[in-house]
Amino acid sequence: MLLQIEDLVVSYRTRAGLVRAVDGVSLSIAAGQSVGLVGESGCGKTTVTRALLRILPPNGFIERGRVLLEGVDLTRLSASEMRRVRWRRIAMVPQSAMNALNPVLRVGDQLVETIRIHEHVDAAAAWRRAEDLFERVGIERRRLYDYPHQFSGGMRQRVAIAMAIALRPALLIADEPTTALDVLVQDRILNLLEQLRADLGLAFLYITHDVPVVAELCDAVAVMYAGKIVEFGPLAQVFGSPSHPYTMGLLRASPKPAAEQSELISIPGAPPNLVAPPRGCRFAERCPFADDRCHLAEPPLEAVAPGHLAACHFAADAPRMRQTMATGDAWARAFAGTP
Amino acid sequence: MNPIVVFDAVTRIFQVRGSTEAGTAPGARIVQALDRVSFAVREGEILGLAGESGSGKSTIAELMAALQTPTNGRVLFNGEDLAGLRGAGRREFHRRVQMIFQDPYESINPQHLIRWWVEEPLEIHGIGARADRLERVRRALAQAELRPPDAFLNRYPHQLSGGQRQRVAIARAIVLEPSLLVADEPVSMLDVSVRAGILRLLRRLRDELDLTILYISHDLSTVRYIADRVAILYQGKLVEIGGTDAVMRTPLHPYTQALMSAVPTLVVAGPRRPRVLLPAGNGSAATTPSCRFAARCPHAMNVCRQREPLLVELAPGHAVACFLHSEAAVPQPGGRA
Repeated sequence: MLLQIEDLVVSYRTRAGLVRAVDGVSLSIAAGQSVGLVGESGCGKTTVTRALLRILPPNGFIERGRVLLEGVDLTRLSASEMRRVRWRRIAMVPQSAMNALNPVLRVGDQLVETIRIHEHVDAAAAWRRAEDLFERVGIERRRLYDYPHQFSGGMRQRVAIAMAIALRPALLIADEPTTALDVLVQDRILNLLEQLRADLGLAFLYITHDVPVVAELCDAVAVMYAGKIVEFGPLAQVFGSPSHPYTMGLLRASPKPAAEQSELISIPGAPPNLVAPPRGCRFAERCPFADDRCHLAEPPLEAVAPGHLAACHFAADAPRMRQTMATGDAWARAFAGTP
Repeated sequence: MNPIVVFDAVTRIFQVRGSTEAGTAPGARIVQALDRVSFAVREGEILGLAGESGSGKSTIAELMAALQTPTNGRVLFNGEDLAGLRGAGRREFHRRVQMIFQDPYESINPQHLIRWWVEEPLEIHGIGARADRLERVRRALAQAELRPPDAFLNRYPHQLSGGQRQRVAIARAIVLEPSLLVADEPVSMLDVSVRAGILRLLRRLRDELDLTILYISHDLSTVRYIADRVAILYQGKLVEIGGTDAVMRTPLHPYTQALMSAVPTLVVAGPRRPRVLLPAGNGSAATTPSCRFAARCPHAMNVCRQREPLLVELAPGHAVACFLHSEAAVPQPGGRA
């Protein structure tokens, strides 16, 4: 395994109390594999990436768990040891490249700087590397002399990708890298990411709320809800035979523009407060299938098929739940009359 | 159906000082946000308006709400030119046309209670006495599915979820009993699981309150879900308009085709969506008459670089501005599509 996250718990100290944003997440990524981490705002997906890069804000800390990258536990590394891992072994493509680029430096100089901080090469050699990188991500090399503001949103994202692959990392974390982009630009960036993965053998951890994008890019998918992974497995299984009601809901909430439009569902309610999370299943309050057991006991993440895990007391009953979903809006029926 | 709003050859030009995006030299620059755009919004329909950033979507929204005026052409509301609206007529227009914005976190003042926020438009327009206003606020909250309304009256925005805040924004818009709602990306900041609820609410309000809705989004999936008809904009030009089903199932303009093919699909097994990658767009406006999409179009012909295609109705209610489909797209002296 390239990356193995084991029982990771990450908390933030807030005025309201301790918030466990990530609560016992385990996830592994093989070399060259592309794993999607899907969930909605506040589910903890970005905190997972910050924890494994060790770039948590000052009030955040890793309470428990291990993050093994090529066998080395990143949570135990010193700050300077961690600096040698970042960019060289794990790199990140952020949502907005503007935040990752220095506005007053030419992008070529920034690329050269990134390379030379980590590797002993002279400036000329680093500049040649930068030219190659630009070519690889589809930007003309003369644009190395430009400043970040001179690039369009899509081009800036390409610059960020060039930066991320500059030191030939094994794992690329992409946190909503295309959400701010128009659909035609997004399509080109997705194409570039797929191409880079094939050419460089990169592994991907792809963070997004956009289910169709994951369906196009990933081999495996983890669905996160309220700090926990509720379903994990190969893409075809998780999206083809979803076994957690939240996954089923997410899939039914995404409209399909080209296909026959089935009625969309919306999931009533909101995720629980993580300062005082509920005792049982965290999704129970919003779940149309929940019964007493769900409110009392937390369901463990267990195999429903080889390699396919779900955290639901009724996971064995998934075909029936899927059927109920398919024949209409289970939520509308279950929660008739509530807002 | 009667048109409630008519855009009659509307052009909007902005003067911009320098440019941060394209890196051009500083100095005044002219941007043509809309170029002779003509279409109608029919009473009672939900018209979707789709296009990429910079295509002119939001300019259309602001012109429709009279927050801007056209450089050329006319915007008619119930047959009346907005440019001629004064005094009471103008106030009545601003009651009858309401807007909803993208970000429910920014568009609601966090310091005020929900009741104040929804009541304020009534106060501004001098509608109702105090007790009557509160009743109207309750009704609007209930119509926006914030039930029971009394549970929301005395709450602050930060106590609500994103979806609930957008419902408050909707309540504030419908409390004035408008006839036209201009919704500019109303769900793009919301989580996927609550989007459908807002879209369904808009559809229900259209039915129950006899509303007409202009739904603006860059997201074709939500347009497909909510809109009866859809208009596609490209660089300030209307390139295709028609029934949502027809336009999305059988797009005629190569730009619409490209947009549709670029939407990621939720295909779990089987062949993946083929990627038709167009060359990157250049933002510069053409200096000579031509189709604005010609430089990126996989089917461009000579005529596309020499003349500008007009919007021509090819099937009932389905019009496209493209030479591939019609000789009639060639401009005739004095002619208009």
